[in-house]
Amino acid sequence: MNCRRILGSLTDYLHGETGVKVCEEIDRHLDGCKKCRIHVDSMRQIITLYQRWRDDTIPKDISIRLKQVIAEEARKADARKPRKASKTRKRPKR
Amino acid sequence: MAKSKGIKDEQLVGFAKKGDTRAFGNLMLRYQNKIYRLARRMTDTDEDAEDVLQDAFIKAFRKLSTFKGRSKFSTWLYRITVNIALMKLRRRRLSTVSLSEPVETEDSTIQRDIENGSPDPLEKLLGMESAEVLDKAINGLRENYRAVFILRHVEGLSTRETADILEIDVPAVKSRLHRARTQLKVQLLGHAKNQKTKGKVV
Repeated sequence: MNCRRILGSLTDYLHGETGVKVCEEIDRHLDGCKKCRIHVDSMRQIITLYQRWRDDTIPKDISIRLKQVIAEEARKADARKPRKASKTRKRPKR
Repeated sequence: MAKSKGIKDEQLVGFAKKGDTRAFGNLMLRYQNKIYRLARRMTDTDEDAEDVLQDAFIKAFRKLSTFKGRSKFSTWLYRITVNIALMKLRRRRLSTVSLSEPVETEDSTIQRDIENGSPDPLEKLLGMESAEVLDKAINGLRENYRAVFILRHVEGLSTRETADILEIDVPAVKSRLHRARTQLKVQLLGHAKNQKTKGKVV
């Protein structure tokens, strides 16, 4: 396997999604190719670090406002619905 | 619709389509963290992330009847979110044109860079002031590259799903990922060199 093929399979490799055979081929190449090894290590670190660093759990106030916005949407949608004819009969005129 | 645990997205979508707003609320609870995280990472500001989050769920609510279930609900929702975030980023870019914006590179340039990859250890840089530098570098990526990088590498979606969300084919995902990674590396190494030069001057 050459450097270009390594780059082509890099994403799958980093996510552990390559087949065993390809994975072994890449590992073998990396053992003997310093340039690729540095590149793969750098990318792995970038991804791991970025995944770990950001704690983007939704803040409570944003979640509450979202709920309110959608509740308002639901009210508007409800108001747009055509009303069903009432089943109560009109009182007959005398 | 008291409890949604154990109920599949598709079933909740079915209920929501029939007007069950609690079912939509359950879908929202299920995905609000993921959508917020994606929006936050794409836009990089709390304010814009909240706008994107709200707009995405409003659009999903209004357009739910058009969702045919040909893809997963999550894919559909991600697609809506990414498109809204991209529009926001483009509007922002038009209003503030950055001189330092990276130039789109050709494959040959990328290849040359990788082949001549500097052995400068990125680990050192990433170990020091990593978080901010990395964030800056990711925000410096072109919108399309940023989207593909975040979906595939950060959210951990498959290449196929990333392709479906962005409505491009699998080879295009791979090519954009390749370019995104290369741009990141170039930016990070550039930063490392600057730091070194600064260190020498001081």
